[in-house]
Amino acid sequence: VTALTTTPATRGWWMLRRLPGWLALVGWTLIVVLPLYLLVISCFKSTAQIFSDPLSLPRTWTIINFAHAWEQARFAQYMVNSAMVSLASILLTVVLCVLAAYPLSRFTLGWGRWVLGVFLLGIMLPVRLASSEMFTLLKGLNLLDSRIGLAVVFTAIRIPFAMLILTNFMRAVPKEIDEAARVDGASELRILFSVILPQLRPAIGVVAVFTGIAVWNDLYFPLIFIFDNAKKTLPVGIAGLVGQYNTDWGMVLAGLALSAIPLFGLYLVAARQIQRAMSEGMLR
Amino acid sequence: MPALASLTTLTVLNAYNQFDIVYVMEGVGGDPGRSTDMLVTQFYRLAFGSVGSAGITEIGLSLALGALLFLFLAFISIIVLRFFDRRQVTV
Repeated sequence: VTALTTTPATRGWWMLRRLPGWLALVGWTLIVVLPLYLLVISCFKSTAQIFSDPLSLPRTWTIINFAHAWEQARFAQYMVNSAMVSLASILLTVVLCVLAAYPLSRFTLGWGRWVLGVFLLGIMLPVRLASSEMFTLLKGLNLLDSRIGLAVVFTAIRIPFAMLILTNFMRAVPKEIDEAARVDGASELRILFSVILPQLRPAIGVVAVFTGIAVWNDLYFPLIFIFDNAKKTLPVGIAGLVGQYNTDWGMVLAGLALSAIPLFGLYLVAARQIQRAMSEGMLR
Repeated sequence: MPALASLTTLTVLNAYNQFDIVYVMEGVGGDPGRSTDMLVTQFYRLAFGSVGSAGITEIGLSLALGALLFLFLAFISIIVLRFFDRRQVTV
């Protein structure tokens, strides 16, 4: 604003001072875009061409890689598995965390802070270190090598983050709203679902998308808990395509590109909510 | 500043616990000869990978490693948090 009222010389100086920021942004954009460009370009090349000239556009556009990924690599099966696990985890996480965040953020409870603290501790602790205990637990529950077990594990892992977001957003909703509803005789569940929840749509969008991304991309837990080839999720399936002696990189990259599409879709659906949440301030 | 502190801590922890990329890049055996293993991939190999001595998994050893790693990470995160702020950090 001040630059508009000053002389051209100081205005030039002002723009020069902002130059490093712009350079950093351009550099960052390149870092993000270049791998994406390589991925998309390489999908349409033969494996030989990927190695001979990685950066150029493909000489002959071919979709044989996608066909291979879909047919030979049981890609459709992995996709269905990933979708099932991700959707189940998102639903479980959102429902459980909304129900848990309501009392913890709307009422002043003596032990509320401690319970919330235990929830938030889950963000700091590295979950993977508990994986052998989880293995034993799932074995005891007969949930090993099943997609339900995987969804339960992912829900447990994503709950701390979801609680952080949801409690912070729920605290920002004015108390008068639910007091008015309570005077009108609404039950607590009714207050939560028809009064508070509509205010929380940005937060739920953020939680859903972040949970979806984390679950969809996770390699570690499916690797441990799933043995049956028909129940593997996408990352494990794609990692399995990389052979020890030769790898059809065109197929692998096509698989990766295909696996990224649903996430783009999820983001597009929730993009408006996420941007609203960001501008309102993610953390209170 | 509190936001910066918690962001730094979380980034450090996440980077230290990175598994996927390391695992995919080093291949099934941790080539060459498991020398590229990080602590987390080593933990995985000991517990589930059955590439331990004589092909059996060493759950006990991996649990010990996990406990040590946890203590180490708690120590690191305390240091990072203290570096930024003494009191006001609530993640």
